[in-house]
Amino acid sequence: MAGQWWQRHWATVVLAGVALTVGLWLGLTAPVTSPVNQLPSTAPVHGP
Amino acid sequence: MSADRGPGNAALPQALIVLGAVVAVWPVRPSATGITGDVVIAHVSGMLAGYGAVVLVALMSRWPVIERAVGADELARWHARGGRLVMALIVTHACAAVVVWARLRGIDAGSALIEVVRMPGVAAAVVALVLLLAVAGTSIRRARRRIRYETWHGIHLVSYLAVAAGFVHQLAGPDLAGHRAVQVGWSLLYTAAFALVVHYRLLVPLRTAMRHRLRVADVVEEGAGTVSITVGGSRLHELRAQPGQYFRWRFLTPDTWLSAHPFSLSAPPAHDSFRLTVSARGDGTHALQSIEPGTRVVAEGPYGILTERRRTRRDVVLIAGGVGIAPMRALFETLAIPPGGDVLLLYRTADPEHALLGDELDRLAQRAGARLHYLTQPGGGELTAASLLGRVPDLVTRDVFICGPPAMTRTLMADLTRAGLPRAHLHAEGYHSGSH
Repeated sequence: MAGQWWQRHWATVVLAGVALTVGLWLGLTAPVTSPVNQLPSTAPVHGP
Repeated sequence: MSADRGPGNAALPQALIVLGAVVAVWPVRPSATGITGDVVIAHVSGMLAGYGAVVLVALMSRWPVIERAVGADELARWHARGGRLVMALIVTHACAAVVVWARLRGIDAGSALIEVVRMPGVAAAVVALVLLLAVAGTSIRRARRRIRYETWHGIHLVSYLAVAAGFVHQLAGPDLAGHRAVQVGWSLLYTAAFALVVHYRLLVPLRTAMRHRLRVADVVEEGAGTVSITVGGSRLHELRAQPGQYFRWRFLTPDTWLSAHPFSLSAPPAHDSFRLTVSARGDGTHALQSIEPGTRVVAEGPYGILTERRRTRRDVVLIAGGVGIAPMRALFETLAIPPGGDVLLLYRTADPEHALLGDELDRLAQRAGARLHYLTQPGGGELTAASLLGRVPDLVTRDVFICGPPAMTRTLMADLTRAGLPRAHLHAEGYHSGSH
């Protein structure tokens, strides 16, 4: 049963894994500062 | 592919999209210290544009949950309106960003533009803007009439590249930079949307093609510029297609492989074949008139809400206009008719003598309880609630299924609703001429 499920859905699982990994990698390696925030008058106060 | 849900449930996806828009601008909370209207416009339009772009990608992913909840033609309208809105937001954001930067730095607009473009990811965003403007330009009705559907469709696919290119500068923007959790959430939103596209527009059709080995089995001319194509395959019952539904068909020939066209099943699905009926309305559909048996086919679906599962009443009226007769013909054959019940097919056509699938319909109308009326144009072809009530006085106590040109379908739906037909008894889908 599990074998059949894996046979049908392995591509979906791999794709979900890739999407999760790439999403995490992009988010975790994104820039910490923006040139815009270095101008005091434009610095937004961030919400949660 | 299980239970069908109609456009009546589109309120939930709409509410979720609006809620998402509120969450998307949540990171922007201008303080009172020097935050002016133009700064707020630049920030809010940017966040909403980024969110709107990813919503458009998800809506076009062919995710069955969305397709069934909203309906394909409603989705196409959302896409057109949403596309215009997102383009307006992007252009507003780009202009406001340069204007604000120029004012705050005390420099002219040209210098500000150069400095802004040098910010992280902004050069890619400018490329994205140019690509999206090109896509938008070719989508303007007047321009679309001048170019082939296949060309327009090919250009439209560039939108995915543009959305991905625009994403880069969003993470580095002032509202996300430095806020790790928000950056991760935003990134996952984008990768999830693109994963849906890859899954439902690429993997699922490929898996269907490999498992069911679809090929053109037969082509029968139905009349001038119209053919019925039988597509054979194996284990087709696994697709759980129902009469009244449609697939998006991609015929793998050098002329037609680039675009998938939605065509309804024009006969009840068999265990080893599907039949669709195609009228030549554009270059793509014209090429299908001479498709060769043996041609490989990739199909996405089934989609569509015009099925018996939507039925709530004993008596039914089916209303078809133009090639909208295809799903109606399949339903006309298979809708159960209980003793004393009545299934009436009203078929609007210019010429009943040469009506599309007319011979088959005449034969099916001999079934006990099934009736077929042709509404000829002009004159008797008028489709209004008043004219229909004249023919079917108990119309508002019946289920009504409609498939025809979008304008006809929308107008008739509104008219019937005003005439007192409960929305739950009304089941409709339009088809799109030219491409669909």
